[in-house]
Amino acid sequence: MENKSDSRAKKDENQLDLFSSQNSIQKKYQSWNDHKLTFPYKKGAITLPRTPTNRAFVNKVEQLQRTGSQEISSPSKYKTNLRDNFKKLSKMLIKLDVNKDIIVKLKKLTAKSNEFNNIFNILNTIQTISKDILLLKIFKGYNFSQILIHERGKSIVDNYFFSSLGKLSLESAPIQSFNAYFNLIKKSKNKQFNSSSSNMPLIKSIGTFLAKDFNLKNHSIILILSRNDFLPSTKDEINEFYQFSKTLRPLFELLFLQSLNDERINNIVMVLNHFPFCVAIIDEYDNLIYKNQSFNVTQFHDNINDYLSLSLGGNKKIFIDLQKNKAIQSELHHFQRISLLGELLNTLQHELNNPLFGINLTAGTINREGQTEEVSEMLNNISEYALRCQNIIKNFSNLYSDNETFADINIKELIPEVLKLTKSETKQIEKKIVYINNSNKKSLIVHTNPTWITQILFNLIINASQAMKNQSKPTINIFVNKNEILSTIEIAVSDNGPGIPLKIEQEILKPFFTTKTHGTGLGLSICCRLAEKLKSNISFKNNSPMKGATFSLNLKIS
Amino acid sequence: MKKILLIEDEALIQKSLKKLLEKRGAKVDSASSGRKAISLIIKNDYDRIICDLMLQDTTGFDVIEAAKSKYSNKLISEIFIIITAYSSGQTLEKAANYNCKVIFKPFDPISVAIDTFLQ
Repeated sequence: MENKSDSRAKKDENQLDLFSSQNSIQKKYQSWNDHKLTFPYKKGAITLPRTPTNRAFVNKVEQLQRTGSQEISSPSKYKTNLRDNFKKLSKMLIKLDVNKDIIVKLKKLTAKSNEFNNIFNILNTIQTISKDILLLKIFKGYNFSQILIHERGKSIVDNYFFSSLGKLSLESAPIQSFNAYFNLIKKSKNKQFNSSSSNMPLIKSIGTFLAKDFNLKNHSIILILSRNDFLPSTKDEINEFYQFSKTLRPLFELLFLQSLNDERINNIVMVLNHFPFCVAIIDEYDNLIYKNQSFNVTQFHDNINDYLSLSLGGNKKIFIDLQKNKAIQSELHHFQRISLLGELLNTLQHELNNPLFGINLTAGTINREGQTEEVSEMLNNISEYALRCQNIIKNFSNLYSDNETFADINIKELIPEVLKLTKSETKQIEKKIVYINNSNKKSLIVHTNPTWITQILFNLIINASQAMKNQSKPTINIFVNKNEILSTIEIAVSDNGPGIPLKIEQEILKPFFTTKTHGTGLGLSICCRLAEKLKSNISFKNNSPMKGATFSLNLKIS
Repeated sequence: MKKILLIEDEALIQKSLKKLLEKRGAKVDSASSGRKAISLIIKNDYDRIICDLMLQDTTGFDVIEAAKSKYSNKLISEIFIIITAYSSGQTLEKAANYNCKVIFKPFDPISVAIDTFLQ
């Protein structure tokens, strides 16, 4: 909750980007779906990755896309791309033999006029163009600009407007009114209008304004500039605006091309980010230029067989971490097991609850009718046992539930509960909970997922007890240590078994590794995954100088 | 004196609840099956019908549906109280359609449940 204002600020920053591209992104996401690639999205919201890493990656992918297998020596930057694209567009236009004179003019302008270069430096994206345009020298006197963009085939129009006093805003407008404006502006000779005389609620300026219509390949655009006053523009001003507008046309085209390209890249990034495997891309110098969300390894493994690698053209390579892939498989396996067991236990809980409640209720009812002390005590016992049965089955079905909700959990209460669940496996074993550094006097409440913690501790305790099968005096110590400086609670399960042999130390947390005859080799790897989900981790060490091993879970309090 | 029909197929729960309600001065008829419950509802007038959902022959919802021939929807929401050990969302949703109170088993504490039945 405390982060709300923070996230809101972030949202504002990205709002325009999100708004403008969301529909088409969803369309594309859909098409990915059609290819049977589904990606997990929480709450259905699509957020475009805009982190610096991604930006770098985007640039790289852009390079790759544009150059194919060719190398690009200079580092690519957004504006270089813009120019490159512009070149491409110019070529395209020449090819099509369209607007030849404009191309010539543009070429001249690019060569001579600083102003036009300025446009490249200033006009970044189609979304911010209304803001950027006011920064141009020739429009120094203007303090309001608006741009209405309609993409062919869409029923709404994006309406961006900016006044030098306020913020860049975006509204949606229906296409019908846009068409009326567009025709009006198209037919007008002097391109000068007055917002008070004409009935134009979409126009946000006050007083007179200049307007220009653009009919592009896939878009229709209206550009509006105003001083927000009632003085008519001079002939020169109108002329200047008109001339400038002409040069804008190809720029708009290339900005749309750019934004389409951006969108495509964002989609690729999004797909990679949510790809359920660890993906990394390295450049020709083996620098990591991209890694996705699943990828949280700090170091590459030595074993090259752990990776699947593909060449991306040039010397760039994309890696898929198969080791992590295994971990994901194990999680899947775990999930299936849990949900099956969970279902089973849930049914069992419901089926047993009713008769157990009956026993408890009856024992209580008879007891209230006045019994001898001896009978009364026995009836009390019956009630207690029935309650205990109910609790046990309830706890077990909690252990195997796929509950993802977090709650405030008191570790002091949780550990004895978990110990109860392990009772049959730990029958002959002495169990102690040891609070270190006066931890028992401190608050041990953690906001966490009780099911996951229970699963982890349950596993660690069962493992410990199984390791001590041949021990004469098996003991499990559970050390609890709250570190207020690091704001962590360490729960360490320590046994006095044979310890971990050195040669399997590296393997012990890996999925499908087991030393047990009937083990799946998934217990610890699942614990690690669950711990990761809790933003914590599991560590282990051999006890010294005593016998045995200790496995610890380090819980972050906040 | 309140006239109560208790529909519950778990014998121990039925007998104990009957006893507890009678102790508080109610007159209690009990039924273990949906069929018996429906015939009792049609024959007699009850101030309160406590209805378990999982019965041997039908569900509690079937009993409520059958009771619609006698009671208006409003009366059904006032007279019926559903008791169930299955707290699934589906059950709750269905129960919400009838606007009846739902009490989950095991009752904790029992006295509060008894008070609700006798309201």
